[in-house]
Amino acid sequence: MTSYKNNNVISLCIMGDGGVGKTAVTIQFISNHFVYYYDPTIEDSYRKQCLVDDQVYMLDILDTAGQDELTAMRDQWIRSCEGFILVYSVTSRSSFDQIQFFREQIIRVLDSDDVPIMMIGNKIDLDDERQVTFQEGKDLARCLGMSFMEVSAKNRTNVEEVFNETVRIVKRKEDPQSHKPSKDSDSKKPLVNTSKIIKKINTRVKQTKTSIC
Amino acid sequence: MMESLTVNENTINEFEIKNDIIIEQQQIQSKTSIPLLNIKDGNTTTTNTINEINNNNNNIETSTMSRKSLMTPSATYESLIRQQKTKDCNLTVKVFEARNLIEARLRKREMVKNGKSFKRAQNLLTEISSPNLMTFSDTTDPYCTVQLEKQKQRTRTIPKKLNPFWCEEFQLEISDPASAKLVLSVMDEKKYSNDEHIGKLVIPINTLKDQKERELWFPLTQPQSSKKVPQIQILFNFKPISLTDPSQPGHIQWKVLFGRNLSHSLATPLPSMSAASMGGSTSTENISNVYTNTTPFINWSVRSKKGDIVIDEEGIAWQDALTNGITRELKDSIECITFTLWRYEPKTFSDDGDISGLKSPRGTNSSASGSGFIPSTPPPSSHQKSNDTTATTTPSSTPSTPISPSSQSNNIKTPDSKTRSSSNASTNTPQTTPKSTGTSGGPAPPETINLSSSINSTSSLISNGSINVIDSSNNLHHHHNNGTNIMNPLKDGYEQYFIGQGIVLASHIDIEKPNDQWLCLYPKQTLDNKFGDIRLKLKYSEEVVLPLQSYQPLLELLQQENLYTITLLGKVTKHRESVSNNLIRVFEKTGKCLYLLKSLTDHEIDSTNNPDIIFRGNSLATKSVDLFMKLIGIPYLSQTIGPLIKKIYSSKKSCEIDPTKLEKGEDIKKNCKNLLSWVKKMTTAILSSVNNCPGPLREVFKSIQDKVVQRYPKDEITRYTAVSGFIFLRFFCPAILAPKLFDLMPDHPGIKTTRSLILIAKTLQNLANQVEFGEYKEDFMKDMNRFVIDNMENMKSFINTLSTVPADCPPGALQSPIILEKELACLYRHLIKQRQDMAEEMESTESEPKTQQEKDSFGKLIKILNSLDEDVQLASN
Repeated sequence: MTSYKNNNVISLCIMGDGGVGKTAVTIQFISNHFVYYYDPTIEDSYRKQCLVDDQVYMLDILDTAGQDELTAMRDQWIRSCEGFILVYSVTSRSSFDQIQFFREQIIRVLDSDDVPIMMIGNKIDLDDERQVTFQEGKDLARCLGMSFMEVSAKNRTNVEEVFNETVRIVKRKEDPQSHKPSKDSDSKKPLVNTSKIIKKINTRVKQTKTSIC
Repeated sequence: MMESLTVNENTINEFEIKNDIIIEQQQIQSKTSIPLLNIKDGNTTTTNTINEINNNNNNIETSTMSRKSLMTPSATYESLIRQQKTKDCNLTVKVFEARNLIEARLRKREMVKNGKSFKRAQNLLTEISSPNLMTFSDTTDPYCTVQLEKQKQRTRTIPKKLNPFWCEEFQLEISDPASAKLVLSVMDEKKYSNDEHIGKLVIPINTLKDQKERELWFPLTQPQSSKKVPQIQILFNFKPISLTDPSQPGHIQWKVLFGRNLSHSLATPLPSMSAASMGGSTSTENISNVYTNTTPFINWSVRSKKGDIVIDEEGIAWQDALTNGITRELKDSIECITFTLWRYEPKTFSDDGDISGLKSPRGTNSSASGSGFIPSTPPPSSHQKSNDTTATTTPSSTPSTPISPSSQSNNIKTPDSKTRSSSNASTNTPQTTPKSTGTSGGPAPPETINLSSSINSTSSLISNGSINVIDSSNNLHHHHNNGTNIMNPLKDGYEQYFIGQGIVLASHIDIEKPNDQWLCLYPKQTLDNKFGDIRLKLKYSEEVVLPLQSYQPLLELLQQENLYTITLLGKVTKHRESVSNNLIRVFEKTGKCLYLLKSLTDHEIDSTNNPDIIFRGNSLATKSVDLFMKLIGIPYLSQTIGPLIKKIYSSKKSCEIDPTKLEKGEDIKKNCKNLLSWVKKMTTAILSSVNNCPGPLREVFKSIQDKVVQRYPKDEITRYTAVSGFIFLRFFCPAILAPKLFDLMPDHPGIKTTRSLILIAKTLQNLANQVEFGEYKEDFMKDMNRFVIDNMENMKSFINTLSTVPADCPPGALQSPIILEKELACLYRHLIKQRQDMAEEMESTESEPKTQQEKDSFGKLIKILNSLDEDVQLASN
């Protein structure tokens, strides 16, 4: 197997309510195939090489269970991945309402607001059963600081774009940092930017100190 | 000196502090002021050990202030006793994980530096130097103890991890929520000596009074820190930005109501304030505290959900926050608000008694202050603000050129002060950092930085006792900056002292109505004061439990035909798990649980268009059946797969068949055989267990299968997958994946075992779903297909048998007794909270129109809730 530099292997986690089409989106991306039968996922992983902005990446994709009863696994999934794709179905209002809970869980485990998250609404081919409008999805994503797309796993609409955009989000989060972040949760940014506050206080302390001298 | 004493006495209005210097010099002891009309809290007593430490660190220049916990007035105390008779207070603590714990080696170094007793130090040195013991003592095997009132429990020990993951839940009962404190200690388990403390966290229960679930990272403090956590009570009025119309900004308004354990003057409760505080009610009364030089200042910042800091303000005076509050417009959806409290601390304090007696409780804060405020290098110019500042430094990094204090009341002591300061800085111990802090010049507010510095410089030759024109100028400026009308005490210089920091999540603030919260202020984690973090989920509940007869109308309404109330609540609630749990237990107690589950599942089947995804999402129906399985099915589960899980845990064989995950030297065919062997045993154990399944569960499965057959008579698969979606996807498979959570094993599985369990569960689920492993899903699982195909008929037979109910089924045992009044009290609370949402749902035109019966039912519900509201109010008073 070709060996990749560390920063070119990206682990993604796909989460969402049960039955929204997480696996269908993943397999459509990996194999260009739509699975018509339903088979609930426990935990599946896939690998695929893809080209994004003239750069080759190896995607390590973790397809997860949507049922609440398997919540115990979520902490492990969240801690082992760098980027997240949250899926809801446009035909299910309740799966849309669940997006916020998934995002909150990610933020709590990683203790950071600065997590690369892509939110997608699936099953747009079933437009006559639509319960969530495009605008609603867009508004929620904007408020929560996530990227947003609507897709159809059946018609392969936007499927490629979702993964390409997720890779871009992950790289955009990584590059501005002065040091290469490790995968450990230790290096995650703190939830509150207290260093900024302390810095300001210290500045004033220093000035006073100098003037006394 | 006499004039100075006179001035001090005039500024302390409500306290009598005896300044008998002669006696205090002979016998140092702690002093506690007792406010009038208040009962002393036993927690304020200090121990002899603390006194010894204080004696060692006593210094006339050290500045410390008294702190007290809230005193309970006798009237309120009696009222509280009465309340306890009808209130049911519980706390659920889930300890997830910890991170950044201190290594054992580093902790030993700290203990030696702290100057423990000679004997203890000798033992530690021996332990460190021994090559054999070094191996054991250098590892960290953390566990966490959870302590509340007289209850104490602990987690399992996770060997050799500085970032342990426990994921354990504890249920605790509280008899006195006003004064109870939850204490968590992270410990290092030792085989040959006493366990060591790593870090500690104290959470007063009164800060959880809003009964909202919190899942947060909390900072650990040093093990010897006080249990008195600084707190402030804040009144919020919050309107978030409109989701659909970005042009309508939101607003946030907050005001401080009360402070506790910040300083002695602010801790003085007024009777009405104490009553309000005990009851946790919102108070709009303006409390005006006596101003002293220890009044805190507040920095606050707001973080948006996108991760930006949208509001960042510093130096809000306590009095302003107390009387006027702060109002700001919001243009973003916000995530959390951070409050940081600090104050100006005089460099010297003349009262020896206060110094010696009260130093220890603030040890942690002093350490934080010392390490947080000492700059690493002086700025290049006194007239320019530098942005290139190192955020955090330690006392040991103080510049090599010593800077003398800006003023000394006694010139003779100057050399001693320098020597002691240097010595303390080099030892770098937490208890002595206040002295390092004391050596720096007091920072002045930025507006008057130049003038104040000039004044300080000039007055370095003048003693504190003198009063002259320059001091008057200084005083005048302080008056202006603090925005008060009270004359400040005459002090030459100040330093900034960090009290603590707290975070409020926006999701915990009620929308568009005033609500108050108690906020814990924890010390800032710095290089010199870092003991790790711990992630907890806290859920405090406080229910006024009425006699059962009071709930009779509600019970009858819930059980009416068609279950209108439950359906409505299920649509709007965001706490599905809690609501489902209460409903299941209420209906189980009244013997109508099967009716409830049948109604919920029938409704779900009718409203799902695609048979493939019946019961695949999360809903009130799926959650209710799941909880019912757990309520009566755990013994069945344990009996069926428990022994096999134990064997899998202790097995060393690998089951990995994913080529990309194989380790070197592993044979994929051999691993496949191992996996197949476990899968066969697991399948056999389950498929042969049908006679042990509790009868009520089989009734539920029968009801589901009958309904599916009725709706999809020609569908040959859904009648099986609908049932297997519960018994396998939500019962057996989760138990296989996480046996600890189902009490099958005491520990979480290791990495290899976890992987084996995942592969077993996947194969089992495919079999249960009557689906082979295809070429598109994980291709390597194809090797299991022969087994899946061979056993599909057996699986169908099992599900069919499971969905029939012979007469001799075992009844199933409850995991815990059900107290009907408690469950109904919880349901009442859910209904009260969701009353507005349910009303909106009733009037909504988006969903299908409501029948007259539904409207009548909702009308009855409102009347019942109002009636119960009155009963609860009466019982509370």
